[in-house]
Amino acid sequence: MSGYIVRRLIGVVVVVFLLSVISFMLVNAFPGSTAERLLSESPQGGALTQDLIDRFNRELGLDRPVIERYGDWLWNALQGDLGRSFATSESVLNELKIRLPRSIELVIIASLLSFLIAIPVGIISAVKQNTPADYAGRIFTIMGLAIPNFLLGILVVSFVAKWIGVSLATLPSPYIWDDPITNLEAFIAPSLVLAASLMATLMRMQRSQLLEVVHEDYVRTARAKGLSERVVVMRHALRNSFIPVLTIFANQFAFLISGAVIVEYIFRINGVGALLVTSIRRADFPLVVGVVVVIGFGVVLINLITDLSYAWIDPRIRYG
Amino acid sequence: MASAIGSADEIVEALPSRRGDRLRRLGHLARQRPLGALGAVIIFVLIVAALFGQDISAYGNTIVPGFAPHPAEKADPINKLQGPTWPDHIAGTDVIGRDLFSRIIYGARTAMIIGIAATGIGIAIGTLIGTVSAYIGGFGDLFIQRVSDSMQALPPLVLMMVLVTMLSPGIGTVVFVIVIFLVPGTQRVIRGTVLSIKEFTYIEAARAVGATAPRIVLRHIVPNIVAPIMVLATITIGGTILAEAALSFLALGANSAENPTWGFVLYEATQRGNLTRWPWLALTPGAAITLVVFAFNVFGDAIRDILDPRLRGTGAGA
Repeated sequence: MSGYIVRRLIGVVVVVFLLSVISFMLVNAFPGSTAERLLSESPQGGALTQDLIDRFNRELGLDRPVIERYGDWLWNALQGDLGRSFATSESVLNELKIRLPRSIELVIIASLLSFLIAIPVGIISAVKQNTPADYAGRIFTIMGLAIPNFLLGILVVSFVAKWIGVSLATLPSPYIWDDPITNLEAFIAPSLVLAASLMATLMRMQRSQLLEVVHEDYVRTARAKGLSERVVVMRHALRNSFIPVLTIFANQFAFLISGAVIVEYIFRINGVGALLVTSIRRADFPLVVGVVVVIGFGVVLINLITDLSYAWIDPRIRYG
Repeated sequence: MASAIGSADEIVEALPSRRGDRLRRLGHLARQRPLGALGAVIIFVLIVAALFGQDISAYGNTIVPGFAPHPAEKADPINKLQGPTWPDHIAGTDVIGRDLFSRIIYGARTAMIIGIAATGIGIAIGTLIGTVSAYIGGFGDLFIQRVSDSMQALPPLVLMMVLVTMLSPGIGTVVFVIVIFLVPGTQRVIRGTVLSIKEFTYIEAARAVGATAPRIVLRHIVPNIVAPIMVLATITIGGTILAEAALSFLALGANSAENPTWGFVLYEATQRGNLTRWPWLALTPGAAITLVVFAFNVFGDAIRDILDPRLRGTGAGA
C-alpha cells in the first residue's frame, strides 16, 4: 500500500510539473500582448510606443527567452514563491492564501450536498423503480444535466433571492472560522447551484449501478436467507454499487471546478475562480499560472484520494 | 432463394415494403425511447433554424407567423424592452430593441457550426492519437497518456478561458479551443477500445501476412471502432454547445455583430438588464441553451444504448 502511495505521489508531481510547463508556455507564448493589454489600461493612457512596450518588457523580464523565464519561475516556485502580479505587484501566493479558503469551502459544500442528496434519491429511485418517486428523480436528473450552471446561477440571483427576500450578493462574506453562520448563509445558494449538475450525474450513476447490482447472485442469496429488504439494499447491494459512483465523482471533479469559476463570478464570491476571470481579462499572467497550477494540483489530489478510498470501501481491492 | 426466380415486378413490389419495415422499426424505436425521439425532433428543428432561420427572419418576412420580421441586429429603441407579444416579438426585445427571437434563431447557426465542427475535429484528432498511442505502446504511449492526464487535470473551462485570451475571440478560436479540450478525453476512450481490439486474432493474422502498421490501423482497427466513435460524437455535441455558451457568457466566445451567440445574449442580459423586471432577457437565451443541450443529451443516450451499451458510465460527454 505505502509503495503504491509513493508511486502515485510521484505521478502527482509529474502531472503538476507538466501542467506548469503547459500553462507557462501557453500564457508566455505571446509576450507582446501582455504589454499592450496592461499598458492600455494604465491611467496615463496616451500613445503606446514601441519604446514603452520594450521598456515594460525589460522591467518585467519579458524580453528573455521563455525557457529561461520558466527555469526562474520553477526555481522560485520550489522555494514557495509563485511570483508577483503584474497588475497589483501583490505576491501571487498571498493572493491565493486570501482566496483559496472560500473556493475550497464552496467546492466542499457542493460536493457534500451532491452526495447527501444524490445517493439517497438514487437509492430510492432504484429500489422503487418505475414509481412516481423514480420518475421525479429521473426528471430532476435530466433537468440538472441540461440546465447550464450559469443560467441556474442567474435565475437564483435574480429571482429566487428576491422572492425569499434575501440579497445573495452581499459578499465578501466573512471566513467560516470568523463567523460560521453568516458565512454558511452566504454559501448555501451558490453551493446548491454548483452542486446541481454533479448531483444529477451521481444520482443517475447510483440508480443504474444499484439496479445492476440488485440482480447479482449474492443479493438473491441475501434475500433467500430471509434478510429484510432494507438490510439487503443497505448492507449488501449499496457497498458494491458505490465504487463506480466515486469514480464518476473523481471524473467530474474538474468539471465541478469549472462550475465553481462561473458560480464565483455570478455570486461575486471573492475566490480563486473569480480571481482567474479577472486576471485573464487583465492579462496578469503570473496570477493565471499560479491559479492554474493550484487548481490542477487540487484535481490530481482528489483523484488520488478517490483511488485510495476504493480500498477502504471495498476490502477486496488491494494496492500492491 | 425464392426471389431469384421471382419476376422483376415482385422485386419492385418488395422494395417499398422494406422501406415500410424501416419506418416501422423507426416508430418502434421512438416508442421505446420517447425521450431520444423528442431529442431528435428538437435537433431537427434546430438544424432547420440554423440552415434557413436567417432567411426566414430577414426583414419583411411574412412566410411564417411568429418568425419575427426583424433582422437580429436591428436596434429599434422605440420598442426596447417589450415583453413577448404575438406575432411581432414572440420572445420580447432587448435593451436596445432588438428582437430576441431573431437573435436566438441567428445564434442557432453559430451554435450548430461550433457544435458540429468542434466535435468532428476533436473526435477525429482524439481517435487518431488514441489509436496510435494504443498501437505503438511502450514509452510513446506512456508519454502521450501523461500529457493527456495533465491536460485533464485542468478544469476544461479554465483551459479554454486561458487559450481564448491568448488567441483572439472568434468562431475559429472557439472551435480550436474546444478541440483541445475534447482530445484528451476522446483519445482515452478510443485508446481503451483499441487496446482490446489489438488482442484479437485477426490483427495477429494481418500482421502475420505482412500488413504494414498504417494498413492494420486504417483497414483493420478503425473500421471496428466506428460505433464507439459515432456514439461519442453524439454525446459530445451537447457538451460542446454548452462549453461555447459558457465562454460566450464570460464574453470570451464567438460573438460578433452578424453572429450573436446564445451565451452572449445571456451575458448582455446580466450586464444591462434588470432581470426581475424583464425576465425574458435571460429566459429566452437560457431556454434555447437548455433545450438544445437537453435534446443532444437524451438523443446521445438513446444512440448509445442502441449502438454501444458498453460506453455507459465512462462519463463521456458529461
